[in-house]
Amino acid sequence: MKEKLPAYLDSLTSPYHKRTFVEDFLRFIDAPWLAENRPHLLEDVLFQLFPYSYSVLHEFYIITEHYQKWTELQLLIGAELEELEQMGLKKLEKASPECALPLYHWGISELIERKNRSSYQRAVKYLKKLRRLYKKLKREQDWERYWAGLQEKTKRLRAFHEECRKGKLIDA
Amino acid sequence: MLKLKTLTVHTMPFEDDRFFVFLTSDSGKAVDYSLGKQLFLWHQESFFGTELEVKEADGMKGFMLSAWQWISLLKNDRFHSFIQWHFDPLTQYGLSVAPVLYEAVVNGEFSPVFHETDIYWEPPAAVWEEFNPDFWEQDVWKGISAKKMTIDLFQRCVHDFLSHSPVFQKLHEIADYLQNGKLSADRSPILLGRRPLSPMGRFRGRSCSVLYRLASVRT
Repeated sequence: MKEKLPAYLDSLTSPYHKRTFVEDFLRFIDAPWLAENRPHLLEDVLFQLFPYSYSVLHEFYIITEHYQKWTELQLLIGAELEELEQMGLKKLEKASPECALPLYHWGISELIERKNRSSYQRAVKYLKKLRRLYKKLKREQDWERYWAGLQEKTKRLRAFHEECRKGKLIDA
Repeated sequence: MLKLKTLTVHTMPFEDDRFFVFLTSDSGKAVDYSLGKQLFLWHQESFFGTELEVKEADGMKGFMLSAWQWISLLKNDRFHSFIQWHFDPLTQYGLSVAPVLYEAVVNGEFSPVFHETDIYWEPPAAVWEEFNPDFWEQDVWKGISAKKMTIDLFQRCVHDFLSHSPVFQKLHEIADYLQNGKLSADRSPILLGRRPLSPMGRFRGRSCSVLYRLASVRT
């Protein structure tokens, strides 16, 4: 049955109908029971229903402590750091800090690319968190290498450097 | 585990000694280069791909990698697990040799061989013993054999690796001192963690490679 799900999903015309179908279907198959008793089957079903199963898949990986897959899912969907903070980023940092690194690096990179004052301020906030994370992992040298490279890459972005000074990432 | 996407990884050697890596879909069509971040998701050496330069070549948008970044990417075959990955022949060759080359470089298993002003890094025997002779004779890129490609790759990997090492950076500073005759006020030879340089004064003006030789750099 699970193999037929993508074709059925495609036959539904609007995203609203697709979402409604996935919600009803997961209620019908009792996803919490499957998560406990047949986790691989549930994962396969959620993949067949992707991306409409995203919210259930993300909870599934957090509950089952599959942190690498949680990171992979978030990067694939392109979730922003603000959203991830509401969804379990703190838990990830505590349980598996190295899995949080790619999310911070990409999140920061995308914020800097937006080139506006408020995104620079947010980037600085996350850079400070990233620095703490590297410290926690006892990888200060990696942070230094990254930070030196980032400063060089952004040397023409005066507003960004100003925000870095305000955030005490660089000396005033 | 089911896969959500199928992507093929392509590698093209570039004139400046770097590698151009780009992705295509299973039908061979170009995919959005931003999908590249999925390939570098666990690649710490490039800070998960954020450090890489994005370039367009032959109508494809992709990423520029140094030899060391390419080898460190391919060494452990750990990519995004939701994606079914395929690899072009050159990338497949890279996947084969990357673990042994990476280990040799990280463990400092290379010896310098000097040719006048040039330096050649001899790959350890373990590299050649990894595969049978047929493997090394195969053509991996436009008439270049796997053996020749590996020798060249090894030189660049050692150089890239050493250029990030603090010892190598200090040697650069010493070379600057010898070539320009002065250091900034806070960088006296003693602060560089080396013996005073006057005994080496006769090497003033020589190229960096001479200095690397003198110091027999090992990490």
